[in-house]
Amino acid sequence: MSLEIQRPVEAMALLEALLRQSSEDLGSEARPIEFHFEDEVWNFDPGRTESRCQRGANPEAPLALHCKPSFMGRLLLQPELYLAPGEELKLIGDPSVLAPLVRALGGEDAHSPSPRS
Amino acid sequence: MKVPPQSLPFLNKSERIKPSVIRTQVPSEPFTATDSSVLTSSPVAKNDSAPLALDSGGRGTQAPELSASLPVKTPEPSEPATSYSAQPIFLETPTSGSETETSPRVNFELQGLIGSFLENPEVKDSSRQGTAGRNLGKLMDILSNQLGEATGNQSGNVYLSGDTEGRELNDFNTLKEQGVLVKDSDGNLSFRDQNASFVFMGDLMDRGPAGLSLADEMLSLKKSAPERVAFIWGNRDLGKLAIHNDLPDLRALRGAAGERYSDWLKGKLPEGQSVEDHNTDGNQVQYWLESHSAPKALEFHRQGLEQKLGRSVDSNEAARHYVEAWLPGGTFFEFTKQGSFAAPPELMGDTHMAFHGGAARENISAIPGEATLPKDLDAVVSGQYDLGKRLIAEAEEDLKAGRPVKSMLLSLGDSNWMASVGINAARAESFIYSQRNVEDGNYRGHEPEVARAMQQVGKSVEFVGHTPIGSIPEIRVSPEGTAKIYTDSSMSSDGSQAMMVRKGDLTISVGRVGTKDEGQVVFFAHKPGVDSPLGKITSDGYAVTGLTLDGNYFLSKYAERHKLSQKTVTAEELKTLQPKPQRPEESTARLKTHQQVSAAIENKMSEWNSPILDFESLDQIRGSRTPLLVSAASSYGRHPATQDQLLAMSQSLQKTFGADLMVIDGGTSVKSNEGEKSPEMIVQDVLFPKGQEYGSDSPRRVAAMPSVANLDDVTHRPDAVVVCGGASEWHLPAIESSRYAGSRGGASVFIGGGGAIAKAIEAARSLTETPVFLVAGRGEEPMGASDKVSRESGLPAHFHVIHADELHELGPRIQAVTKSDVP
Repeated sequence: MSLEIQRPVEAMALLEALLRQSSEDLGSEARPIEFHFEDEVWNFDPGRTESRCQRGANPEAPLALHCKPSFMGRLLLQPELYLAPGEELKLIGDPSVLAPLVRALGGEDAHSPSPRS
Repeated sequence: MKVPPQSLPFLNKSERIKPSVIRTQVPSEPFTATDSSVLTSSPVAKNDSAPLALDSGGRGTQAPELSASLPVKTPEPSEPATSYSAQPIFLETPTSGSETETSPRVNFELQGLIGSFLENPEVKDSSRQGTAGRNLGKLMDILSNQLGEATGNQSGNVYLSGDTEGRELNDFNTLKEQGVLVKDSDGNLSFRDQNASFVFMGDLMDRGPAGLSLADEMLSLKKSAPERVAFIWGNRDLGKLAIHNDLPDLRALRGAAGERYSDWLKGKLPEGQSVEDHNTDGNQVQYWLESHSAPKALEFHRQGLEQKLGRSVDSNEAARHYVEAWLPGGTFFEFTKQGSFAAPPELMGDTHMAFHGGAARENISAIPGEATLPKDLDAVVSGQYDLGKRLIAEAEEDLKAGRPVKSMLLSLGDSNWMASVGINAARAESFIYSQRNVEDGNYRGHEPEVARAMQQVGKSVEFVGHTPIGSIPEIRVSPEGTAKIYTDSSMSSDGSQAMMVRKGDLTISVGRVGTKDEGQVVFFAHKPGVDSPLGKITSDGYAVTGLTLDGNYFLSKYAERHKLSQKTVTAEELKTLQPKPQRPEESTARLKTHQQVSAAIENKMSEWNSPILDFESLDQIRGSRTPLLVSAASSYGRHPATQDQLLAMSQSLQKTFGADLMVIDGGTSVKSNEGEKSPEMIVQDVLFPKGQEYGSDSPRRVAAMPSVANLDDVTHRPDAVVVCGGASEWHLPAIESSRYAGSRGGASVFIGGGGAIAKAIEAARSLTETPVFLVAGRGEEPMGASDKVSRESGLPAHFHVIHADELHELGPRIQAVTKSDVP
């Protein structure tokens, strides 16, 4: 991977960029998610019309994801999903909140033999 | 699909851990990492062909076969790492206030990066291939499917914490810090995950200024999810209701309580100052709290109130607020009103139960006030829960009407200091004030009777508070396999930062030994039926308390007054220590098991030449006699009723019934601690004149024997003995005797009555076929427990207050009441 995601703002920008490139909408059932990156907290709120990614907490978010920005980078860009040594991923809340993202980012056919084109 | 929220030990930035397990399935061996959706790196290289393989948490051959995880990829994928220095992530609390705003600078950078990434070929490629969606889907699968299956697809985690005791560093705060609970802009608490639940284990206040704010927060949480939040009463909570019973006497400086308060106040005042001039709200409440083992509670309440109101508060205002907080509508009463003796079964599932004091063989035998025995432990749990709800509703009615709170709620909720004998006496049947969790130098596991009762209904874990441990939960596994988990970390000098979770039949504990900055994380996962060292006792007397993050075992040993010796050993070292399930030695008094009790009763009856009967067999010796339960106890010495009155009463009874009377002794005909005769003994001294043997012409007497502990103290040799269903409770023989007497045209006479008989008198309210006479002196209220019952609004129709010198009329009245009613 040549694109190095090191900072929280980069991880969130990458998420937003991928969503903008997707032809799929998130849908009305999409709900906010908190992202905890070491010393920074961000949140993604699909209901916001301006910037869906904002720095800060969102206590209403039914899911909080704690990870390093670099993990987010791999999660969003690399076919192989793994943790680096010493890395930790923590989720608090309802994982089903991820479903609209999975659909919007092309994960519906994740188990099909060939990727969509 | 929804699964429980997941959480993780809270790690410091400085903590270097050996990579632990990535686990999404319940282990077959519960001694590795917490079973949660915390995924940490492991020393296993990525394996594309088996992408869900994972390691053992660095514990070599003990590794169970696990089926799901994220693999770990080292910088050199071809060479699996064996050691790491990578820092774990410190999980910060979400930022709040102004920090939540995205500054223009950050937003500018964000937008710039988005634009840049939109043009980046790698991002475009990823988007085309749906990489992000696939990975997120994989993550969701792992979390939702496999973890969901692992936990039996049970809805949400049940978090437990207790014994906050007003301290600011407590386990409830841990739930906030870990993001399990979230606070909105108005300060209201709610669960982040809408399937999560919370059980407070009791003892909210007294030893720190946060009692008031904790009550507010927990009530707020309860409001957000009424069905998923429950409070168990602790003695420090429920006992405070008694303040309303005593304050009138303190204010008026009257009665025994007023005298003691006056003496206390005198001792505090400079020479020449009058007690009356200093009889303030603050002093009254301070004295009352001091005498209830909470000497700093008022000052802490003052501090907490100042924080809440944002202004200074003096001790008198704090005292008034404290008293009002314990009235209906006040914070503490409303908090207490939401609680009960047991956690509601719907939150604890089939496998778990939670009490503040804990289950013991005494308190699982009966539901106080119920005339029938519970059929199993499930009935005990639900019965205790219902009993609490009923009693607190009655207490609310009492307080609203300005009446004292009923005795049973208070006596079950706290202990009483008995100065004459120098012991702190608690009701044996109380689930709140269990005195036997620590005995002979260790925390006790379950007694065999409790373990068997749990097994009978499929319960495997009991959470208890009340008994202070160190700063992390202590677990004891009985030889039968049931686990008793002690959660009270209130005595920890470092505060407590533990988190306890029930997830299906799995129990997870994460805590920290030591300070937040320097402490060591210790955790365990317990699953019933899985053999592990957890909760067992080593050959050198240590209990296996949990695992450390580097894969070693953490051991602890009770030292003295809740101080623990602790050490860490490797898995290999632990093997040499041969941990085994074990119960602490029982004290001499408690070595009398049920078998020994039966043998002792048999021996004593043989010595007395008295048969042991069941109630049905009593009819063989009853003949045409009228059975009369006479039960009395300890209040005599403090009551103005004179011995002469009791003698006169007894003579009246004898004259009325003569040889047609069969007296059933409720089982308390023993010498009092002071060597005085109880009223019951005085009555029976008359009914059974000294020197008169029990012959066919004498009134027959039966003792309903309560327990072997009293056998040697029974002063009146009975014609026969009835052993009541193996129960060791004093009130049960009285209840059963009362029922028997009523069903045969007899009656029950309660004279005075201490705590042991109070329940029998309460239970007699439901025995409507049994006339019950509460005996009073002339011009007096009935004595003792009878007095309390008589003060209840609306005595049942079958209850009668009768004066001692009217007792000669008792016979005809019994006949009049019962002839038409008894089949």
